[in-house]
Amino acid sequence: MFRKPRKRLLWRMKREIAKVKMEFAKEEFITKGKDLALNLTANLDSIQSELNNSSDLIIRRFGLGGSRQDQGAVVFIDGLVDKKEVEWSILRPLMLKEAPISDKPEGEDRLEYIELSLITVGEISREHQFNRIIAAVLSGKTALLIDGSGEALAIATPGWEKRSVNQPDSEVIVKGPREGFIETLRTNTALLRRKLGDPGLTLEALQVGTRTKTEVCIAYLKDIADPKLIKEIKQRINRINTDGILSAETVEELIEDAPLSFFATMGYTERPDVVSAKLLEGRAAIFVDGTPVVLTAPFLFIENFQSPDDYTYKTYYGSMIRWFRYTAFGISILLPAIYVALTAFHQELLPTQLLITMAAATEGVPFPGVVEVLGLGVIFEIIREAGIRIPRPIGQTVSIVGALVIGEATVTAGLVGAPVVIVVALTAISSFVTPSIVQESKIIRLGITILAGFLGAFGITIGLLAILIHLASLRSFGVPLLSPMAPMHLRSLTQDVLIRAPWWMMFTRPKAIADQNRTRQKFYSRPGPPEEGESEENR
Amino acid sequence: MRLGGWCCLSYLEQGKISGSQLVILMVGFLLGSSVVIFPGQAARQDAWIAIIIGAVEGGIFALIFTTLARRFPGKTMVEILETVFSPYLGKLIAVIFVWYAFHDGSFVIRNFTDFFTTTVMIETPNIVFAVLLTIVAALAVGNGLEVITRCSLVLVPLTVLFLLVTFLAQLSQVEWTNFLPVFEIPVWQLLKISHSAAVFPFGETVFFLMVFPFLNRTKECRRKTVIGVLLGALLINIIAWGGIGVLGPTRALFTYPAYEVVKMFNLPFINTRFEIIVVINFLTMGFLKLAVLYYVTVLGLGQIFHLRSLRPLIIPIGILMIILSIINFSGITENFEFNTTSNLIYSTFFQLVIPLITLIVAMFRRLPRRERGC
Repeated sequence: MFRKPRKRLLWRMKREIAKVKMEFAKEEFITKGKDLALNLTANLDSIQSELNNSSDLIIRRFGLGGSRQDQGAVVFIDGLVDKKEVEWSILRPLMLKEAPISDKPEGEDRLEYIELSLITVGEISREHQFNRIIAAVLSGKTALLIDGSGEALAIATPGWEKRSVNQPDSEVIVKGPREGFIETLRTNTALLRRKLGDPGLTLEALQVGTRTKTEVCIAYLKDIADPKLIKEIKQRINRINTDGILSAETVEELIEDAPLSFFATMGYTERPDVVSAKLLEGRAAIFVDGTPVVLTAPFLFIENFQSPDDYTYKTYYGSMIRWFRYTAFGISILLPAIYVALTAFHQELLPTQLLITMAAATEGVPFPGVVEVLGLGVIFEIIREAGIRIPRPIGQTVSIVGALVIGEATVTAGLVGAPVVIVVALTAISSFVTPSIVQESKIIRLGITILAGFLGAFGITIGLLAILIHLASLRSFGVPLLSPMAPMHLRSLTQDVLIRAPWWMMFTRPKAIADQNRTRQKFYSRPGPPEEGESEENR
Repeated sequence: MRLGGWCCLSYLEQGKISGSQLVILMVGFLLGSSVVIFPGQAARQDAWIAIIIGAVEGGIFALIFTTLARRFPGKTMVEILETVFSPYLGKLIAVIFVWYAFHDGSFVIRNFTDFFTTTVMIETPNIVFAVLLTIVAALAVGNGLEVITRCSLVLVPLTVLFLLVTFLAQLSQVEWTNFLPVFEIPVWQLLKISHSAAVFPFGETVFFLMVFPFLNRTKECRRKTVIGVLLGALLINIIAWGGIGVLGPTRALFTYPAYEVVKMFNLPFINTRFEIIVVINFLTMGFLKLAVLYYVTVLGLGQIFHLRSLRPLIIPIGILMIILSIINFSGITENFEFNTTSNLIYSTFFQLVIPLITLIVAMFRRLPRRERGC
C-alpha cells in the first residue's frame, strides 16, 4: 500500500543527494584556487573584487626603496592588525631610500631579500596561491605583494581588540589561581603552556566551519594521553561539515558520543588550572577560537561533582564538601518527588509530629501535591530566567517580586502550602551547587516528580533505574561515563571519588582514562621530616 | 572504540565482563526476589539452617554446570547443547532451557506485582507494576550485558548497605529465644525444605551458563560462581535472621515477613519508619533478576534461531512475560504453593538434570573436539 509513495520518497532523496554532491564539487573547483599573477595591479584588483570592496579593506601602494618604478603594496583589514607594527616593521624599512631593493633582480629573489633582510616581524610566510593570501588577510595578517613576483608574504601583525585575562564568572573559586580563558585562541594556549612546562604538551590545530573558518586546537600530553583517543577526536572534528562554529558547545554537539542523550559526555571549563589537571590525568582538551570555554574529553560523570576548590582545601574538608555536593545533587533531583510521594502515598513514613504540622500547613490548599510542586517549580524557573535576561538595574525588581510572589503571597492566599515553598526553594539552591549538571538535574527532576505523583516511591525508583540504565550505557570517547563506579576501579574510587585523597596518596591516574601510563608519583611518598640516620639526599 | 572480532563468540553480544563484576551481578540476581521472600520459610525457626544447606546444594549444582562451561569455553548453553546433542535435538533442548528462563522471568514479575498490590499500593492494578518493571528491564536488555552488569555494580552495594543498616537497626528487637528449639522439624523434611531453597534462588544461577562466555577469563567461572552463591547465601541469611529473631512464631501470620520486620520499629534518631527501604531493595534487585532472565531468554532465542540482532525479540518477549505472569497463578497462595511443591522437581530438571546429562554425553562423545580456525 505504501510502496508507491515510498519509492517516490526514495527517488526524491536520491535527487537531493546528487544535488548536494554537485554543489560540493563546484565549491571545491572554486576553492582549489589559482596562483597569483605577476602584475601587481591585477593582483590588487582581484583581491578587491574578491572581498567585494569592503570598507575595512586597506590597500597601500608604495615605491620600494624610494624608487617609482618598483612598486609594492601592503593589504590588510583595518582593525585586525596593529597599524603601528605595519608602519614600523614593514613600510618603514621598505620605503626608505637606504634599502637597496632596486639592485636586486625582479621577482622572487627580490621578495626573498625583503623577507630575509628587511622586515623585522617574527612570524612570516610565503604564499603563492591567491585564496591563501585572502585567508591570511582575513585572519589578521598583512599581505605584502610586489610587482613582478608570483609570490607574496603573509606577515603576522595581529592587533585586534581582546579582553584581558580575568577570573571567569561561571567558575568562581575561593582559593587558587584567578585567571581564566578569554576569546582568543593563542592567549588561551599560552595560558596552558605557562601551566605545563612539559615538552610533551602537544597542540594540534584544525580548521572547521566552511564559512567561519574557526581554528580548533587539540591539546594533550603526548605520552599520557591515549593515542587512540587523539586519533578519534581528530577524526570526529574533521568530520564536522557545517558552515559556522561560534562556540565550543557547537563543536561538542557535533562530535559527542550520544547526541540524543540529555547527559553531557564532554566536560567544559574556563580555567587553565582545570585544563592542566585534566591533561595530567590523560585527557585531551579542545580549544575553539572565539570562546573562553574549553572542552575536555573523555568525560566521567563524577567530574560534575569535582571542583578545583576540593584540591586547595585540606583533604578532610575537601572530601566532606564533596559529599555535601553529592547530597545536594540528590536533593536537587529527588526532593520534590519525595515530598510528593510522602504526602500522597506514604504518609506512614513521616513521624507523627511532622505529619500533623504538615497537614495543618497544607490545609485548605485546593491542589494535590504534585500540581503544587510542579507549578511552583515552573514559576521559579520563569523568575530565574527573567533574572538572567533582564538588564542589571531592573534585576533587583525581579528578585523582590519573585520573593514576594513565591514566598509570601502564594502561601497566604492559600494557593500552595508552606512546605512546598521550602521544598522548591531548597531544590533550587541545591541544584546550583553542581553547576555543570544543572540542566540534566532539571529534566530528571521534572520526570521523577511526575512519576512520583502517579506511583509514589515505586515511580521514583523506576525513574532512577531508567536513568541509571541510560547512564550505564553512555560512553565518552570509549570510556564508560560511570567509570570509577561501574566498571569499578577501586583505586580510582578511593583516590578521587569517595574521598579526595591527599596529593601524596594520589599515586595513579584514573584507570579508565590513562591506562597505558598510570604512575603519577612514587608509591607512598609520604611527606614528613627526615628520619634519623637518613640524609637529605637519600630522601 | 570497542575492540571487535572475537572468533568464537557470538556476535549478538559484544560486551565483556570481569570476574568480580560477575560475582556482584550474581549476588544481585540471588537477592532478587529473596529480599522479601526469603527461602525456607516452611522450616520455621530453622529457616536459616535450611538456607545454608540449600546454598551448599546450590553450590553443588554450580560445580556441575560450571564444569560444563569450562569444558566449552566461549560457548553459551544454547551453543553447548547444539554441539553436544546434534543441532536438531540440541535446539529442542535449548528451547526448553530458554522456556525455563522465560518462565522464571514471569515468576519474578509475578512475585513483584503480588508484593506491591498486597503491601504498598493496594488499589493500583498490578498490570501497572508489571509493565513499568518490564519496560525498565527491556531498556537494560536492549543495551546489552555490559549495561546490566554496570547497573548491578551501582545497585548491589547500595542494597547491601541498606540490608546491613536494617540488620543493625533491628538487632535490639531480636528475641534470642525465638531461634529455639533448633532442629525441631525432622531431618527428612528439613532436607526437602532446603532443597526448595536450593532451587529457588541458588540453583537459578544455572542461567549464568548464558553469561559465562562473556567473561574476560572464562576459566574463572567456577570460583566466581561459588563465591557469588556463598555471598548471596550470607546476605539472604541476614534477612532470614532478622525475620526469625524479631517476629518469632507470629511470622506465620505474614506473607512477607522480611517486610513486616522492618515495619515493626522506627529508625533510630530520626524516629521514622523505613520499610520503604525494603521496597526499594526489592525493586532494584527484582529489576536485576528480571533483567538477567529476560536477557538470557532473548539471547537464547536469538542464538537458537540465528538472528542477526536481538532488538526485534525484546518487546514481544516482554509482553509475553507480562501475560504469563498474570495468567500463571490465580492468586498469591497458589504462587507460594507452586514454590514449595512442584517447583522442587520442575526446577531441578533444568538446574541439575540437563547440565548433568549434557556433561555426561559430552564426556562420552569426547567433546569438544578441536575446531579449525579458532
